[in-house]
Amino acid sequence: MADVTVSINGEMRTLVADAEMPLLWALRDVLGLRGTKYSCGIGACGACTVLVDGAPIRSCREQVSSVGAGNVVTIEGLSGDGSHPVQQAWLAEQVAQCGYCQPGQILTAVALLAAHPQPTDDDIDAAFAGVLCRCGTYMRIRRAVHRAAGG
Amino acid sequence: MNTLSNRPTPGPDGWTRRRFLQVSFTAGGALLVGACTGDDGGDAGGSAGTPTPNTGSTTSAGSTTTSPNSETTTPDTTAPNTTTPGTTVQTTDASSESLFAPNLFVRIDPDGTVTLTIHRSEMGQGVRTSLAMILADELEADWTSIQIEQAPADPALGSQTTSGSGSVTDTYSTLRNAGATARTMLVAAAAGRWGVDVATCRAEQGGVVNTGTGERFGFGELVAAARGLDPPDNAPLKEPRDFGLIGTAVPRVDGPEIGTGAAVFGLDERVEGMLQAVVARCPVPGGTVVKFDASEAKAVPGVRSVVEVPSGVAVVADSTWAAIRGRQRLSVTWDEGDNAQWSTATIDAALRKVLDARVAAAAAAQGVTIEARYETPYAAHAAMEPVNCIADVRAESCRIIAPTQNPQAVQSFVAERIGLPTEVQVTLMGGGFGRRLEVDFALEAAEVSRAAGVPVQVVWTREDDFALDFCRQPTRHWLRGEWDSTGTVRSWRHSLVAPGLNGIAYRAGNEVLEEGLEIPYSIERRTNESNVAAIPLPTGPWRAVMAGPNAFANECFFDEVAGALDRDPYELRMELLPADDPLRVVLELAATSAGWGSDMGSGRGRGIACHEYHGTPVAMVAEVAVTGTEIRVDRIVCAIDCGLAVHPDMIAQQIEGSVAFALTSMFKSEISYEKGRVQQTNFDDHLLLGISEMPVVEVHIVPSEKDPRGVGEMGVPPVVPAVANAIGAATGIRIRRIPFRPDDLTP
Repeated sequence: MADVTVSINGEMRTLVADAEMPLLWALRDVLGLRGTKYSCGIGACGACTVLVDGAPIRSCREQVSSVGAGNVVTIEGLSGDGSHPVQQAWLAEQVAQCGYCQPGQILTAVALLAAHPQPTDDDIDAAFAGVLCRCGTYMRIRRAVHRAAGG
Repeated sequence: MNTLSNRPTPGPDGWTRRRFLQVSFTAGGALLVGACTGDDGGDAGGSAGTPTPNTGSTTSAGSTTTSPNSETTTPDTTAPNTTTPGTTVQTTDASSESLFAPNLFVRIDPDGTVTLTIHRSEMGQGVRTSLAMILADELEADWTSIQIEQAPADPALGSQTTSGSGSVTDTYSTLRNAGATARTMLVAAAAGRWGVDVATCRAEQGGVVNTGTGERFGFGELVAAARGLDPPDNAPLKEPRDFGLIGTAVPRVDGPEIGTGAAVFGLDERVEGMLQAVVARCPVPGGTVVKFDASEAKAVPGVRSVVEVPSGVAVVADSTWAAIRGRQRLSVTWDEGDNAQWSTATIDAALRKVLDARVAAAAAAQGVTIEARYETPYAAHAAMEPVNCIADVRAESCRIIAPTQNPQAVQSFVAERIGLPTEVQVTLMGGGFGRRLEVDFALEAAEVSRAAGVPVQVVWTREDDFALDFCRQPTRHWLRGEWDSTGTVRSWRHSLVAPGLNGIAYRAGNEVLEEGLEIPYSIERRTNESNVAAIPLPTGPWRAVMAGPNAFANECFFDEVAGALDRDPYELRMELLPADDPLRVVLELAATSAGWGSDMGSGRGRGIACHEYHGTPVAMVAEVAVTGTEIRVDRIVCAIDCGLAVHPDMIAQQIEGSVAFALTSMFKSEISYEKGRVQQTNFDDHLLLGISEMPVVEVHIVPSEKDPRGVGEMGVPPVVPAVANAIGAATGIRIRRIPFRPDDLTP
């Protein structure tokens, strides 16, 4: 167990964690940020997605001790008040059903739009590969991404 | 997240408090979620002595006999401030003496807060929104400032079981009456205050208007007067043409909190003093502990204790990660029990043996026949939120906080097991699909809490969730159709073999197998029989239950018969459906919308299928493209007649979701067994449909003024047969088993 300091949503946080503790569990159980979800633990579903320096990272596979100086953005930190254009697009298209996978979907969309402001459907397919939704909201995710892109 | 103050409400003897999971919705879209669970310090207790809210007063505080223009004085009326529209109203006065609560579903505070109690579980199908709409519409509440409260287990509410796609159907009348009753009393209270006839008063958007003078009372201002009134026996309901919410696509109430990560799912709940636990269970369902060695597990930092429970060995720790690490260091010797004899090969052999016997026993056919066998495997629920449950067993009471579709069953099963009065709070859940109807996880959590002596949250890893699901049963079907020289289908035979439901709360035999077995077509002799296979592996209700496999077999075999008769499958369906069958309407709507009959070009095909599930007819046309052995599902056109569409967009969502759900079972995954062990462990070997595989889904809702009927499962049964029929149209090859394998397309 050791002290780890990480930047979470713009705040430096120091926590005690064992060296192998995934960032996911550090966020949820140590820091009380439970918007990031556990679903598979092996990086196969994307529910645990956070942004580290803007890139989508599966926090269940990232040790908190490896984050280093990267700035982590969780769903709570995206806007604070739901005003991010992707969050607004998600509401406009009424994407969510149960909502459990949606923090990961939203952050995946944020990262995609940062890299591809006008993504094609193929870009969407690639970015969202392995970001799973059992409720089947995929059509609306696609529409929301296009809407957020201004399309 | 705000934690709202606990609002103690006494119930019948034996209950001293209720805790509510409170969700409030504001016009600004920010959604505040509070779990009144003691997060804010200790037992956020209610007091046993809180007086019962006034429900049976015989004197009207708002007298109707005062002369016009004089101020009505009422003994205990204050003049509360009118609520500012658009703000979140929080009740700081928790005294139930000042509330207006004419029934269990509507509560109004003097400050105007309208709280609606939802007594079905939210798992994405939108009941927190749709049921609230029904209440709010009849009540004439201001939708932008209602609060939603999730009801704990409480038999006084009637059923709280969220299953059978019955939430809207089964509560529609109750909720309309509840809203209308409150509305009627508020109007009477206002009329009394003004000294006018009720006929000149109208409830409108959270207030009552005096149509003669234009004056308005907000609901909050009428609380004291309304409390003094007797609830009417038959409050007049709105005419459907006057609905303001029902029938509209209001934004889902929990959308904003989902999008910001503020939504609290079962796994996100916390209670004071709670520890996290994972349970080592025998990899063979039903196996038991012989012995275990916890010495290494206990040495893992964060692990607090290791306790044996009936379902296995629980590692209790101060974090989920520590519990998982601790369990990895646990060694357990298991007695695997009888289920270890079952493997997919022996399951298959057992089912085939019964089906062969039924085939042999069938009377010989007379005319021209075709026959075919169909099969489906065990199917996992695989909700994105894995199973989990919080239990807090104290000396004299037990509390469960769970994502459950079945709170009253949890309450009675746990109370019986633990021997203590049990409260059950229902959380938001990340999908249910029938898995959370079972009570196993709640019983287990209660055992862990009792053994460990602390409140615990039992977390199931994804591997745990796959290893001990209560899957949809595997099925084997034999169908035979027979026609005469005129091409008239004379007989139809369907023999089904499958295990029953082998769970704790859900055990069933032939009655569950028969769901969807009968066809709607007018064929002279129809013989259906179901045979329960004695395979005791755990099984449970899965979205649409047996209607999925039965519709697969029936609707595909129907196409096989149509093909043998050289008949268009849509036309033959229309010919053989009775004239008044509602399936005709949805078939025609789906076929027309899809452009049935137009040429699709080489390698592409259309298929049609229909099924009426629990009174809701649904038809689908699927379009596929086949390249070699690769299948792409391009489009599903769906028509549904679910009566009045309470929320048309949520209906579309449920159909879209059903398509994805069914396509996963058709193309992506199954559950198989080897020596009693489920072979699939996670999303890398049990795949789910991905975004690139999702077809376009078009939903056409038949306009209707009949009372609403269910939707949540109704889209599942027609999907697989529509797609299989489309593949048949494109390739000439019949798909008779799922999941599809490429060599199924090898002629």
